[in-house]
Amino acid sequence: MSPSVIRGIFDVFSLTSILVLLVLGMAIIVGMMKVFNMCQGEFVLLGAGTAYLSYQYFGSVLLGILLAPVVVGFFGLVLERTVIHRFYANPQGALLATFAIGLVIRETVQTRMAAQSSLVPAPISSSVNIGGAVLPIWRIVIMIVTLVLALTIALVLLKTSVGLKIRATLDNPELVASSGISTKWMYAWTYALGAALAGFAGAMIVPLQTLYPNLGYENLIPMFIAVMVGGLGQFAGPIAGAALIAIPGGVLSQFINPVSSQILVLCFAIVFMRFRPMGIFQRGR
Amino acid sequence: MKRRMRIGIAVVCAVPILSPLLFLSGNDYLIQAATRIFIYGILVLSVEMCWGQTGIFTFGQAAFFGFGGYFAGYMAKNENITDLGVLLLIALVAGVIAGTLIALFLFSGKRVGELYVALVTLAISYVCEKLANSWTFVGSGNGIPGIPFPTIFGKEISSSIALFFIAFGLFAVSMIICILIIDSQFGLAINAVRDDEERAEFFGYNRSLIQIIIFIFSAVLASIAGALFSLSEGFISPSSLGLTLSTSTVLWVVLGGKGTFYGPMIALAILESVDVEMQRALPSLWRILVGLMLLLTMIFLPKGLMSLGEKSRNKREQKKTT
Amino acid sequence: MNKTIRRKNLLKVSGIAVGVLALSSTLLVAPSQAAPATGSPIKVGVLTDMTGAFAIVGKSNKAVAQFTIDEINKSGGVLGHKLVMDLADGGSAPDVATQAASRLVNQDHVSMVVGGVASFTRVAVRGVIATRGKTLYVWPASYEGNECTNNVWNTGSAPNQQVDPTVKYLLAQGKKTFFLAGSDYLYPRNILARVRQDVLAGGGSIVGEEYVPLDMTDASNLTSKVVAANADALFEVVVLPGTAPFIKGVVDAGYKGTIAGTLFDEGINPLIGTEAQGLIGVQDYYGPIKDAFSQSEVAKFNAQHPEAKGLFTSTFNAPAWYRSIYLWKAAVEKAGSFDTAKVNKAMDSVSLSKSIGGPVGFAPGTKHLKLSMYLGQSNGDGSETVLKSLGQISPYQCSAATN
Repeated sequence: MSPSVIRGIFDVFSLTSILVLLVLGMAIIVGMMKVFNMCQGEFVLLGAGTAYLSYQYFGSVLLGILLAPVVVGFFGLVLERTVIHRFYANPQGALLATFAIGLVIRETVQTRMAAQSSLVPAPISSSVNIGGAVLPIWRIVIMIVTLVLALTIALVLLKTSVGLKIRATLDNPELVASSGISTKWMYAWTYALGAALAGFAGAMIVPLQTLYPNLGYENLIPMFIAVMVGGLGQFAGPIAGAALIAIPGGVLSQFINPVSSQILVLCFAIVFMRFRPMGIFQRGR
Repeated sequence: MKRRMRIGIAVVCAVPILSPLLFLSGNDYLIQAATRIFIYGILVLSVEMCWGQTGIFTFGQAAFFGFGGYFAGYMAKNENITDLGVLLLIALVAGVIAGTLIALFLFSGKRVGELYVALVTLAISYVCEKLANSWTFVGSGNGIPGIPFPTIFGKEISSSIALFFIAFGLFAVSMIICILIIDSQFGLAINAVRDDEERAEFFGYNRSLIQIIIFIFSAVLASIAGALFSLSEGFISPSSLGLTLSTSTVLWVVLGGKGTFYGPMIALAILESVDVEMQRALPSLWRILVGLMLLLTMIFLPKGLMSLGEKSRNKREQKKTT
Repeated sequence: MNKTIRRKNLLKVSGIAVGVLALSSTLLVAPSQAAPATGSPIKVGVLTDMTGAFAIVGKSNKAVAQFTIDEINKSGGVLGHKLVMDLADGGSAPDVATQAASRLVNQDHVSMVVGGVASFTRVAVRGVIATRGKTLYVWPASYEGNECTNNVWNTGSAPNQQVDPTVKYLLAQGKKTFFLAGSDYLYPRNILARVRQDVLAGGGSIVGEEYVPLDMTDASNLTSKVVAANADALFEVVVLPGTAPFIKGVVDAGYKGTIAGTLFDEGINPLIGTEAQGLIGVQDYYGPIKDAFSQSEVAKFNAQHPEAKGLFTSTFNAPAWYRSIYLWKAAVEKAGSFDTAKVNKAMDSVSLSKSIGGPVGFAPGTKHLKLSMYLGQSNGDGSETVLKSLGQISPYQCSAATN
């Protein structure tokens, strides 16, 4: 294989892993909890911001990456107990309220930032040479971390008692409540987990980009479309959805200009959603 | 005559009576700001008809606004078609075509979820903005600048007062048409679809047809508003198609109270008239405050500012009956 | 019963008319447009983005405008009038900017407007200010060229002023093959068209030309194409926030050629980090240029405006803002009047023997400036090294020959 082919394949995997990483949190909040969380992008932004602040004050991006899920997860927990829990019966209201929260966060970051965008260096900035193609290690780290994280969450949800409680709460809250589990806090912690994952994703990807106020908002629509294409109701669907829109996007943009490929893929996804509203793993109704 | 119509007629009469106050100032800036409120008013009206009255959560209405604006602007600038009537007709046809395509896609056949509609319309607005941003044929990021003033019978409309009255006139006509629709038999049907799609179908209403008609109608309103915007402002840019305007429109409707008909327009008028001054007075805080207002409204006044008035009226009426 | 309903309606009606009323209530204080009385202050319209994506540029612009106006007032003002800054926020969006521009022109009746950060702002507001508003508009930014509207004056650099010397330098360094990359809109396309023309005229060849979406921040596909083409030189105009990821990506992927562009200086380099080492570009000002006047003025600026310290850079248009107001002052004094038509006529040939960045003056008939330009090379710590002072370069714009 020539170096450029290796690079091409690498790029597709890299773009896919990044979108999957971004979607992990959303798969929980939108996919499983069915809260149309319009401030998911801002969770990503807050995670990236944590990495930046850690770099500024402690000189370590790595510390920021570890702190990000804690900080953003806590923020998500507070948000759920103050605002989100009011809207479980009113999905439209949830969408608008989270949009408002996102707006407030974005504008606050905008006014707090001292530059148009800020640099956050990667913890590992070197590259490896594979078959003549020079590949940045940080992208490889993101691929591995995404894979491990996605599998871990899936296993926890499917095989552990905590996962069982979460799934049961989301499926049938009355039943779970009657068996003595506090559904109130189950919801709160699940939401916080979704927020924490988004924050972690933000901190991981910000070294590949720069920190700027629209960092998360720019990705919101593709993230949402990934979740919708994958289908609501389970964790794996959105992950598959992310892959389904990232892979053709990555492959197409090697041949046609990236703007057209992006638009084509989004249009395809919108049409796909119309005809398979339950997502990829749709079974007959 | 129903209450809604009486208020509508009162507004239509009040504006020309009050407007000379505005013109006496000779301040074109204020006249242009008022013109813009009426243009956005038509856009808000289109969302209120779709979402507030029929329950179709259109989150990307700016796509149609920009579509009409780009069509009219392109024709006026590059094809030398400047007649206002022709340009509005072009915008109307553009709105019908775009609206029909998307309406058929969304509402024919199997029912789709309300949030799916919101997401798809938002995504359409996002895609349109991207397309306009990168398509050199329509000026890419710069949009279409230097659009000439429209003409009526070959006479150029360049004074801001004339543009004010054109915007107001179209706003008034749109509003009266909307009121007529809501107060008609068809109005009952659209409200039935809003309140419960399944029950409306059960009662024999053609749910899908009703949604398609209203969606196209509101696309046309938005498209005409966009055409007016590009002609009176002299430019149209990708931001007029995109997420910011789409979400601002929803914000006005929510703050005013969706389904209250006048609420969204009042919210628009208040927010737009203080916007420039507030942006100036609190440059870093104003947008944050707007977001907080939306959040607090969602939590404490889910029916919008108008519900305050409703509440007090209900109380008074209760007092009367007891 | 009937009566109460009517009264309630009346209340509603007045509620709905509140917007219109709120607007008309200010008419009592509306100023009249008359010739300025002797000694009365003159309003200078300053339009920049204090909020939104370009807020940081707006911060620099505002400080430079204030600094320049203060300096002019200290030395006696213009024709005996003091200047006052009338600031309007363009909000980094064209529809916000037109409203702001309309306020400056139609409500505040400013003498002239200087400003705009992005080209979409210029094309949106020039109608409001220059054409419909018949007010002088000075556009102080390096941009894609071809702005020849009446009453509009360009004080930033035109494509040829930055591109020609850069390409000439690269060719002289023995670079034969070029890859062109940019964000997908007018500015990068016009810049790269000029690069293409210069490279082909100089005997070089273009091995690739690619554009990425304006908001694309992960340009790894483009990176791969650049690396695969392995050209001697990469000329890139990927704008923020995509600049840093793109350059970091290209360097980290092992690209060994020279990277050149129009947007590198002390304002942008720190975002790119150590990968900024060796970037080539041409600007109308760099921190270390050997010009005593520039050095003392920028030192004064940093002392008077600590909030904008370090923001006096070419890519933030700081030198262009400074000279814009001085050029306008020179034109007003030459015309002996603030009248737009007279000042507009005088603008065509005014010049400044001293300005930040060196002497400048309008090339008559072009609406653009003959600018003192410098060839610079970025260092890994964000600073710049001036490789060469290029002297004054003429703009090829408007009526002037375009090659």
